[in-house]
Amino acid sequence: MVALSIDGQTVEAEEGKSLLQAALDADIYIPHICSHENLDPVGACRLCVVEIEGREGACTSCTTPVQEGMVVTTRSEKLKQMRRLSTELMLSGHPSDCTGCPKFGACELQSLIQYLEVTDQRLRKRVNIVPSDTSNPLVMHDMGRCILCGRCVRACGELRGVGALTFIKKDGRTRIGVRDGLSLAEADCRFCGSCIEVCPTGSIRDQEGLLDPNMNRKAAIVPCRSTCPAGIDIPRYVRLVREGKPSEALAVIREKVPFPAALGRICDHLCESACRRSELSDSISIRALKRYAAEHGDESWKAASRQLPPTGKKVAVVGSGPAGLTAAYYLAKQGHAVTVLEALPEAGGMMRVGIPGYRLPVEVLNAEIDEIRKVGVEIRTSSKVASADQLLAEGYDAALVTVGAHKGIKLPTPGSDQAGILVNAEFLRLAALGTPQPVGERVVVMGGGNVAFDCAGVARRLGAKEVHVICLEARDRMLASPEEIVEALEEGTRIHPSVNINEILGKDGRVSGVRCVSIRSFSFDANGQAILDVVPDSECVIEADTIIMAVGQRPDLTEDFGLPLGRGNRVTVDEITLATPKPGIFAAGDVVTGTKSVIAAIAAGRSAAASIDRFLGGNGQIEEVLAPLSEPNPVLGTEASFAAAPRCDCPEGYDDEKAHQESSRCLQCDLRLRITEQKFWSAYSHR
Amino acid sequence: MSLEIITPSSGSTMFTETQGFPALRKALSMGREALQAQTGLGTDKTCLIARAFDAESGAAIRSTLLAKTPLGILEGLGIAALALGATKAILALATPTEALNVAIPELQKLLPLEIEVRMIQPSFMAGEDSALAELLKGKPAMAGGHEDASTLVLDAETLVRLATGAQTILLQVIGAVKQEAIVEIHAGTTLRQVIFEQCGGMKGDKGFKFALAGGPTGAFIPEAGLDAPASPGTIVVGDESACTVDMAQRCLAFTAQEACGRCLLCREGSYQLKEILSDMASGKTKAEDEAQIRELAAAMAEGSLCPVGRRAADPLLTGLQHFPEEFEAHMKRKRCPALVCKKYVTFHILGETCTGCEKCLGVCPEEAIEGEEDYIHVIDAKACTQCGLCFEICPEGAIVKAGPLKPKTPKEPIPVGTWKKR
Repeated sequence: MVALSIDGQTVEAEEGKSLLQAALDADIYIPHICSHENLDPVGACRLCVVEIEGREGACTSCTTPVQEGMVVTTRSEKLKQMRRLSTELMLSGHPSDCTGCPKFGACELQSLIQYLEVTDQRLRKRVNIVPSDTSNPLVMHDMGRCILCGRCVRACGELRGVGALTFIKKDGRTRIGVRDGLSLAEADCRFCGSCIEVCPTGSIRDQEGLLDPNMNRKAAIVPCRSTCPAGIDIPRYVRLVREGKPSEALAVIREKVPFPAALGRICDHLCESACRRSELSDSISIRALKRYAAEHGDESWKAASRQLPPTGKKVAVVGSGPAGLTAAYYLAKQGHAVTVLEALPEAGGMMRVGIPGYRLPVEVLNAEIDEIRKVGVEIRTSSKVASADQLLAEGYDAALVTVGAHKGIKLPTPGSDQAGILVNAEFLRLAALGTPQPVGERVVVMGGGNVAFDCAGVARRLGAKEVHVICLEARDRMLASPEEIVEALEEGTRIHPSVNINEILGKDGRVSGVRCVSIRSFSFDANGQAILDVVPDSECVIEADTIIMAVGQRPDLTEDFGLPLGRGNRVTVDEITLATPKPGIFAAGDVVTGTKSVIAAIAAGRSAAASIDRFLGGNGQIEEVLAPLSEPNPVLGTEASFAAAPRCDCPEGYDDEKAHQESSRCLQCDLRLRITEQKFWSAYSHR
Repeated sequence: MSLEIITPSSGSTMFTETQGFPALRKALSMGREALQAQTGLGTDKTCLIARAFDAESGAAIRSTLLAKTPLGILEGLGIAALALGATKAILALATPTEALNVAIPELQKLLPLEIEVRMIQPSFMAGEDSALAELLKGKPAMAGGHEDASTLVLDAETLVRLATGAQTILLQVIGAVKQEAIVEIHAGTTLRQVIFEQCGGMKGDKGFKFALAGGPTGAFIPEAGLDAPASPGTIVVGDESACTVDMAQRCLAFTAQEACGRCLLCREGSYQLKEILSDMASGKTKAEDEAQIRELAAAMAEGSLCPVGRRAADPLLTGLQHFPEEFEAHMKRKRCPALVCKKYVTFHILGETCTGCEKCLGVCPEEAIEGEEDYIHVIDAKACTQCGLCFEICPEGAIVKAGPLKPKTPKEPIPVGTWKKR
């Protein structure tokens, strides 16, 4: 450490640190714009000039290292004049109206103008009309606003080792652009966004509309992580997979969810839809990388797993689906004695009896449930709970209701009272438990969601020769995930989008087919009645001996259970605490939200665990760090044709090589957040 | 460019052709410390860069040295490498030089030095050490990057001096002298001697006005400064028909065009100065311009990242210093005494001299000249753009330039011989 005096204040700084940084760290503001904490200083803008006793003239503090005993003055009339001149020179070629700029209010130049009180335009204006380049889907260049500070060039070159951006001298003008006149993709840009992050003005920005306006900026920059309901640190585990560390990757996933393997197969991966990569070529196959980590990682995540001492409190969890088991897992780790009461003979809820075994093998699920048992959770199957009050009477200090939405909805379509009509939830449940309802040779599934496709797949495996999926939604609006639709088509299932079933036909009290019409569009009125825009003369009949209705499910609960039921038979809870009106009774998962996804149920289970822990006197802190927090390598280097690198899908799961290849496609959007945010002058006490 | 080479009458010259690397052999025998003492090259370097091209357009000192004594450059490079302990050298050239292909392996027999010959596109910035180093790394030629303490740039002149032991300096004199030349002189020779002895004096025996020493970022030297020792580099000599404002403007325009633009003060400062000068040459001077020139020039001199920016304002400042009346005439009286700055000049056809040959009529791009065969021609001042083409083509010298005092000329074409001045 060396000691020096800045404006009469004694400041200690590490040797080798720049004078500018030492001052900023000591809460003393020195104006600057070309220098940036994370980049090598150049001294090009001359804003950070200071006077040092014993040295002639003004020095740029960004390029001057601290020295023992230095006496520095950062404020004087002369320095102010020099800084003003620099700012005026920068402004001479910059649009004079800030109000139309997207960076308004967040612009370092604008803040500088305020600080230095630069008002009059005494210098000669330099015309600088450069059309903005919006050709890249991720990064937009609006170089008419560029002040040539060179931060982006240094970030791209020195920080990331990419070198796609460079100074260009052409026709007597210096500007910043992509090297050799190439596009960003051609110049092997890694689209890490650091150029955007370091740009002090509005010259390099995220492409319009790219950042989700409903998220805060930092969250929006890493959309995969912010979109995941459970908040899994996706960029971190994808990086660990790339580095050949599947065990650490698994630990990162385990920090947020106790079902990595199950999710690795059936998660509805909102993260992939949000992935910025999809703007360039195709999203990262995040789910497949999760499966790889789950299959190739060892148990080292357990080493740091939290287990608090017993609290003496007893908690009952009703229902062993993803929400219930997740809550049970974290509650047990918080030291509570947890008993899970499952009405069915098998644990797992919808993961066991809703999602068919060919998508989520029973062994995979059972292995993960076993891990939950290992932290002390007791799971009692075939234990139906009649009422909430019964639980409190049995001595539980708190109870969580996570019974899901297992009652299929049967539509009152004309002819729906005949034999041969099955309902989604019951059909899938009985099949999963080994007592399937028989299907005929020709099956029609009504509905277009994932459950409908699961019903179609199970029906085929039960012997159906011809399976039709009929839904109101148009092909591109269907609710099922694209993978499920593609898989169904590959199996020979016929899909009839934009079709309404007017009537179920029958013969001798048994189903014989459906009468359908094509529709252009549909909507629902206030009473939930469908309003159809029918295509004239489009009526047709599809013959069938079995109809499976897959048009939604609701919680299988009645008022007898003792909890107030709202719309769709769902349990009403406090949005934040998940508490029901009955003290000590909480509810989470599909029973609260209606049918959602496994990952949403897991996220709800985590919230419920934290809330119940607080209710029981704990601190509700269930967050864990299971993998070492290592600093990612900031140097990306170049990779030929990076932008176009194709997505690798592999139904049987990745091997090491494929996992490396796929994870290497990640743009590492999170690296951007490691770039130090630049504070404005108003944030410093000495300014 | 074929320029006269004028060498000194006595003593050794840089243009001595060498063979067999005698100076290098001697250096090898004397031990590094003695060599360092003799050459003044001390600090350890890993890599040397030999600048054997001319950065400014029109300059020819290094290309001439390369053509005349490529082996001298190479030998000097070897000696420098030896003194500095460098193991790698880059010879940066703009013209292919076959002699080196044979000589390099010969030199390497004496000295283990990795030598790379690199052809580069010469540019003004490549004359700057740090920019040349960047250029050789395949990056844009920009100054002020990370200085690599292990690399040193040496000019061809320095290297040849090491090889020949010559104690001379080289100047390239161009402009209004009888003999444009590359002049080799002993230190202490005055600029007056160079211009009036070596280069034979002023072309057309016109009066000397200025010498601009050091290229576009150089300094004006007036008559009174001619007796100081000349310094190496290019010298542009101007006679009484030249205008220092115009010259300074061209210098600043060149710098603004060629400077790398990495640092703010040089990039924007030279642009501002160029604009101020252009306004000065066209009657648009503002009251605060002179103060602004001083402010910008001082800031550029102190704060630019490399010598290009630090010296960019020198032509303007030395012009103001040595030719204050000429600058004031432009700024305050809107006149160009030398009749160079177009906005202050009008062109006229003298009625007593014009023969009505129609040559001027044919070259005027603006059709601003009226007349026909055997009629005295007349220039329409409103349409004239002062391009000067008519002035140059007139075989009779009938077309003249004028400042505020205009000659009397016919208002419209009249037959040749009928014009009488009243």
